[in-house]
Amino acid sequence: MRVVYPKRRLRSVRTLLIAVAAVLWFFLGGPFFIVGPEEEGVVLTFGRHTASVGPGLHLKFPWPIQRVYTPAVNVVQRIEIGFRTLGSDPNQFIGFENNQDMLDEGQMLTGDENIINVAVIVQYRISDSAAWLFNVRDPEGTLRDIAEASIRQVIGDNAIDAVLTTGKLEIQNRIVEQVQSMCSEYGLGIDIIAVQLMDVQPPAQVSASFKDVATAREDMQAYINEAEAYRNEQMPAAIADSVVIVNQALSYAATRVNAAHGEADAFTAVALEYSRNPRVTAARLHLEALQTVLSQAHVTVVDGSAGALTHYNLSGGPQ
Amino acid sequence: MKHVGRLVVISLAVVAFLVLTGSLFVVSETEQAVVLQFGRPVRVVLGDRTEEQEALIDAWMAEHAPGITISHGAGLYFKIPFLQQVSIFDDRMLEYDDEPADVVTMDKKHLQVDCYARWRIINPLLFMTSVQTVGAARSRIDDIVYSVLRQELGRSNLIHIVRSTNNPVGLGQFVRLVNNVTYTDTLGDLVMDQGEVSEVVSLVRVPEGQGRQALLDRVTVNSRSLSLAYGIWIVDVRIKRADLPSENQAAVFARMQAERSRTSTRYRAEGQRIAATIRAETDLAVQTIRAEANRSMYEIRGSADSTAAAIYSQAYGSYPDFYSFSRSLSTLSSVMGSDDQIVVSTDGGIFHYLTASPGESR
Repeated sequence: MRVVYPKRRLRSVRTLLIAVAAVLWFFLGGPFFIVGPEEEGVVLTFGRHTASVGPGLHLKFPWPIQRVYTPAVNVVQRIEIGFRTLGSDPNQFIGFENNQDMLDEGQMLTGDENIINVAVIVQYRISDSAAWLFNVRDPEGTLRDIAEASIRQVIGDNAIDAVLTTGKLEIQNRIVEQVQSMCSEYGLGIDIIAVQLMDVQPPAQVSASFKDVATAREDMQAYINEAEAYRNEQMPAAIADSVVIVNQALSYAATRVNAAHGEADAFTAVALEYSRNPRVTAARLHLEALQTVLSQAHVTVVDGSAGALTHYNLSGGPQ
Repeated sequence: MKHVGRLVVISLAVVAFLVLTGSLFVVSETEQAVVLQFGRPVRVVLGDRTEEQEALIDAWMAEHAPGITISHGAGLYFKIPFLQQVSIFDDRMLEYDDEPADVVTMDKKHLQVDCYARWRIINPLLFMTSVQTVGAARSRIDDIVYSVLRQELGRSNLIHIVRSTNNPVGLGQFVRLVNNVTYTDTLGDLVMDQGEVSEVVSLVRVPEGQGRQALLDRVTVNSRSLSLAYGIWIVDVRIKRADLPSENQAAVFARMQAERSRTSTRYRAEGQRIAATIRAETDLAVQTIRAEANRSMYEIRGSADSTAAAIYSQAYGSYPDFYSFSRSLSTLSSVMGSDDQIVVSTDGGIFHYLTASPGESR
């Protein structure tokens, strides 16, 4: 038995299919396209690049006559070497410390045959969208290859200490030059905005001895500081002592000279008195002195008229 | 009849469509094409070429496919339907990435080398006849690049593969360039300058025509001349990574540690030297200060003593007789103490009065 569909129903199915196809065509390959604010619209007519348009709504001939690509030309993009950030949080990343692939990527030889680990970012922007789209297959992968080769070449041309410390800026500039010149040679159509050495470390196997250099430098400073402290302690003490010694001498001198003046004045006064009346003054002074001496000492008086020293008292002073 | 008429219309439409599509083909910006007529090439559509490449292609075409039409640029092209076939090839720069390989350098060191090359098909007709596919082309390139690179690396010392130029960054600060030193002289000396210890690294001089850049330029040129036989233009060959195998790294790490510990030792030794100098200088200064103070002391005292002596001698000199008299008396009083015995006679002096009669004089 043959099923006969109503003609009207068949027709409505067909209409629906045509409508769906038309809508799909309209939006996917149809007569207009939208270029976002960060994009550029590159229009191909029968495969030939015929126009480049800015952001906004644009008309075109439908596929298969025209096709449009919209690369993001105004966005600064970056590639990471020696590390990868995970998601949008820049603190979440895998690096050469904990990942063998990153270590293979970031570890390299320096020009003095040392080994160093670096993490680098290369920032770039598409400057020529047609070149970016048409010249090179896999432009991102190509840029990554260029960047890796350039970084190794520049680091390989420098001493490890320059890479670790003062040479960073110069090295970054050289990498920028190298990457940019290779990009131009390949016709990648990009501008290199910056290359940054994010992290430069000696390998884990030798990092202790590198840290010890810093410790040794601090030790050196500590030794010097201790000696400075010794100097700061000793010098003022010595100066204080010397001030004491000199002042003691000055006070001795003052005492001595003043005493001399005093004694001399006293002597002169007495001498003047003496010269005025020598006999009396001499007798007085003589007797005063005898009084002082004889009043203290043990005096034994012997009678001179006896003709001899008849009495001795040798037993000594007051016991 | 109506039915038949409809069939004819549809058939004609199909034929017209086939003829139309069969006579048109699109070459995109990223593509190039070869048109064959019964297997004989009649036309090539090429993208941008440099003058050098253009000349090579023209010469080859003149010899191998005379009378062929050479068109340039993307767009819509015509061909004879059914009789002519079109083969499309990629016109972009293509990648070739080698597996890392162990290479022995001229100085018998091992190096793990990972290189890449960028290439493009410049002569699609030659490419089509000699290798056909991109995959097959890669294995040809592999053969070429691998052998050329290995040959060049084997002629270079390891350090010349790592280095490119003779003007490294940091020159004069950490690094001193020394002419004509051999490779074993890279261990330098330590210098102490204004509190900073630095290693004087005698970087090996890269001779003219040596170094990574020069080496790769040669590899590129040699590989390119070999690959032209396949219609392939090698843009360049680069060393992406050239690292020591892990068993050789240990030796480098040991050397790095030794170098750093020399620096550490030098810092500490310098610290002790400077500290000892400061202490010794301090001791000297302290001794000097004390000695100078003592000298001042003696000078002051001496000068005071001489001033006093002058004062005394002036006073006493005026009355010498009285001086000896009064000085004798005072000496007498100071010499005689309370413990002394004095035996005196009544024959003279004041004790005469002990025995003398009143009014009697001496």
